Amino acid sequence: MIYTGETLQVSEAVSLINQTFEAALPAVLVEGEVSSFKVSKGKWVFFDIKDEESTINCFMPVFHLKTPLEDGMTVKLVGEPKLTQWGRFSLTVKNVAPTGEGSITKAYQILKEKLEKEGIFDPGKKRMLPGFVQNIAVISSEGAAGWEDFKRIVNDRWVGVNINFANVQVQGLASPGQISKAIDYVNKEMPENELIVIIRGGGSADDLAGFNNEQLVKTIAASKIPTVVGVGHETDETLASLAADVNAATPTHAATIIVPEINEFRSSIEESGKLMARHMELVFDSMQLLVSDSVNSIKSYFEDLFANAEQMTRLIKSYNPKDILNRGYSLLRREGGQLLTSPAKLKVGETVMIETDKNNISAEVKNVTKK
Amino acid sequence: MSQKNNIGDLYKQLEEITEWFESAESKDVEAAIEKYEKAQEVIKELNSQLKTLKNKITKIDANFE
Repeated sequence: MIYTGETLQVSEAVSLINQTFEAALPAVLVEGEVSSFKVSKGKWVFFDIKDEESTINCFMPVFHLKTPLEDGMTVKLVGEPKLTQWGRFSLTVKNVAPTGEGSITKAYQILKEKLEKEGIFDPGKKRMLPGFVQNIAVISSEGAAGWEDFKRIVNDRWVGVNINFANVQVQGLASPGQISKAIDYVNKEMPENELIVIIRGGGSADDLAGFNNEQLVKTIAASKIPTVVGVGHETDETLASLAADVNAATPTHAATIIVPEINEFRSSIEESGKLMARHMELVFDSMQLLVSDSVNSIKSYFEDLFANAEQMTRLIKSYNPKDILNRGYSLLRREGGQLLTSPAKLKVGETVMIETDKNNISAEVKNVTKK
Repeated sequence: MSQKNNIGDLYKQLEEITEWFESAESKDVEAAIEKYEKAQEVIKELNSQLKTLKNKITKIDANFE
């Protein structure tokens, strides 16, 4: 091949090559085995990604590494091709995740141990689910089976819930970053949400690998709004689920623990009503008893009163002057009609009136002597 | 947006009244009648809300890529 372009200096050639990469091949997705992994000065990660025939050097800042890597692990990574000023070709890694069950399991164990030591899964940090939620944020993928199941169960079971839905990728290298952004967004811009629910249906270890990403796990743990993670099938456990306030086995399970069942709730209201009605019956029964006792007491009181009154009547009656006269006694009066209670004051010759039961007798005092 | 007297608040009121009826204070007849009438109002409101409320789904208008 004969080159007829302008002559470049070495640096210019390197620069041109990198510009060409940027324009024509800004990023590549590569799968291979990790080897020669090392972290330099706690800041820079270096490793090779290889297959049976070729090897590419890889480089990344350590804060980009969200999953543990070890030599021998199979990984998928997104990297930007670059020619260094020392003439070395490498990929600047933007995203890397283990792939294949063996690598994923290994990475999972390493990260789980690390995060446990950091207290990310501490049971003491778990918050209770709010009762009777009105506003929840759901993070999932539109059209995904898990989201469809969740919606169906919530609509079957309950009413009055406002669901704010964040559409994200729930698998692949980009998923942890998108889910983390959604969690941060809801915490900052939509704090009225009482719960954040992260769901996806079942899948392979590769499909669920994003839920073992360190950044995502820590974002879930740091969420101010309580979190529920319902990912995969009943037997799947992810680090995201362990970090959440509540770990639901599946998206369906998540729906059943977040909202009550409306018919059970109606029965509960009815039971409360019946309980109170029974109490009111008891109250009225005891009132009736009280009134009955009071009536009896009052009746007894008046009976005694009337008995006394009868007695008094007889007594008073016995003092009726007419009855006294009927018994042969008489009343003595002066001529003017004044009743004489002390006949000793009478004078001889004075006229007195004697009242008997049938007659009034006029008489003259002849003599008064003491008995 | 939360509706006035939401289901959670109403149910809590009902629970409190039910607990009151199970306490010694429920022998106070006047208070019992008042609480019972209040409970009937709460139950009526709860049943009304359960009949009329609907779930709502809103897509968050933001790009998470």
